[in-house]
Amino acid sequence: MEYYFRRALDGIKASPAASGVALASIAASVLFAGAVLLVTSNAYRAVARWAASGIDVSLYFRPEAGETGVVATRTRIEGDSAVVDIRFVSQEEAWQFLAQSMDKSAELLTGLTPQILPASLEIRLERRLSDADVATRIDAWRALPGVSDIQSSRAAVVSGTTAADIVRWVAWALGALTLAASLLIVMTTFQLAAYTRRDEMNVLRLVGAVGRGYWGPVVLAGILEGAVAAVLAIVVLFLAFEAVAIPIRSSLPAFAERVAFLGMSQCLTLLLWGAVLGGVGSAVGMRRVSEWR
Amino acid sequence: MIRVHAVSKSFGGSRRALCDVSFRVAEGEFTALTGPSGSGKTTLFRVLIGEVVPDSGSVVVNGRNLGRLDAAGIAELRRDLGLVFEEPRLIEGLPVIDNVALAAQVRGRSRLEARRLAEEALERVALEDAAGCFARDLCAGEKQRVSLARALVNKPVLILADEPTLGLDPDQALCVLKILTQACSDGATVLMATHDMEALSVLRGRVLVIHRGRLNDESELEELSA
Repeated sequence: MEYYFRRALDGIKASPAASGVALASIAASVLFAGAVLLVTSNAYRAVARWAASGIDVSLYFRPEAGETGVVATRTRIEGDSAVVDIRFVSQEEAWQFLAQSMDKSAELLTGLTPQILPASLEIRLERRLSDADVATRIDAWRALPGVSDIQSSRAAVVSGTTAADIVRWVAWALGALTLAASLLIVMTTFQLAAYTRRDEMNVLRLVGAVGRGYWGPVVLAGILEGAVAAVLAIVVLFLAFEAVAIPIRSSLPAFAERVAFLGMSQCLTLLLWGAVLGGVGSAVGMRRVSEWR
Repeated sequence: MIRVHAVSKSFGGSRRALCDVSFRVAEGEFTALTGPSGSGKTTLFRVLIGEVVPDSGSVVVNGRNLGRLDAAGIAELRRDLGLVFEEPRLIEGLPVIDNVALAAQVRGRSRLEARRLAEEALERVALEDAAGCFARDLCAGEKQRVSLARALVNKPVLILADEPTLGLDPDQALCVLKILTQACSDGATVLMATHDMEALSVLRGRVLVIHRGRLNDESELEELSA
């Protein structure tokens, strides 16, 4: 094995330009694949988390509902086993939320009072409920005294789940596309690399290298180059990720814990991908430029 | 050591590179194969190392019938031969000693053992001082001597040299011929293809003359130089 490693390293040292080009093409391929993986995994995680959080229902009261009506309605709804969480939002709280959400445009509210907004109950239902289950409940609650309107995020949750599935399929499609494109590019690059090393190949054939002795060092050199390129690509991707994530963390703390770099298994997959690209690329490239006898 | 019987070879068109060539080279013999450029020397040489498959005839080298050898068999045959070409065919980006040691490593020697043998071989061609130099930094004659060292590193019983002095100045050419002659004196069989009459004039042994793919004549090198 030491012989193969030494020959592989000698081969890389003997043709630094070709090795550099091959390394750069693999690094670019892994970087692109890693970027796709990073974006899609974060997007999928965000969408899936939101979709899995439950069905939100907002129940708005008429102004005349009064405290007794609110308490009665809340008691009735709390009795439903499908209700995960329920919270009363007064007119004043709703006003504060509105002002906060409007941020710099909050001055538009000048002259208005909290009484223009309805008090509400923010209800979270279990995510397992079907459309019909949610509709039945909404119809029943709408008939309660003092209730003016009810809005549900059921449709949005369905859309969110669908979006998560779409993100997942897009990720797979992009991954497959990346795989095919990068394999083509890397094979072509290695063909060039093998072409520049054809003298070495000829010398090896001349001295009777065969089988692993002939293929082994070249394929191993490709695997080593691929692994090194993958590590470089992961490091570059991490630095780029941090450059983007640092301002997000400081300006949008709510997103800080939701935006994450690739996990260990994903990094190892990229490393493996780089090594496989290098090995396969060098084997195919060499096969194309060398004639056995 | 070498038995060639009724070998013919054509490349594409009607012109035959080799036509019904037959000869033998005995063990320990120094044989020169000569003829003008394009006479078929290199084709015959390539047939002998299994690089070209003849259209007909049989070739036995070092006890192996080349017609019955697969790729692995050809490689095994080459590992037992010392091969020298008109062009040195070195890995330019490798140090001289690694170029020479490569042939020993391919035969299964450890790196240390291969380097020791390579040092010995470089001493035989008086290039021990260049062991650490890159092949690309050497002049043509030195490269050819490195190529000779690689051919000698496994102490082969048969050395095949195709135009090893071509393009070298007289001193370097003489040096190469002396090394080949010494290898023969040490027990190796040598078949050298050349059309360099000066080279032939300093050699002793048998000469095969090939012309337009046919083996025309066979004489002693002494007769040729006389």
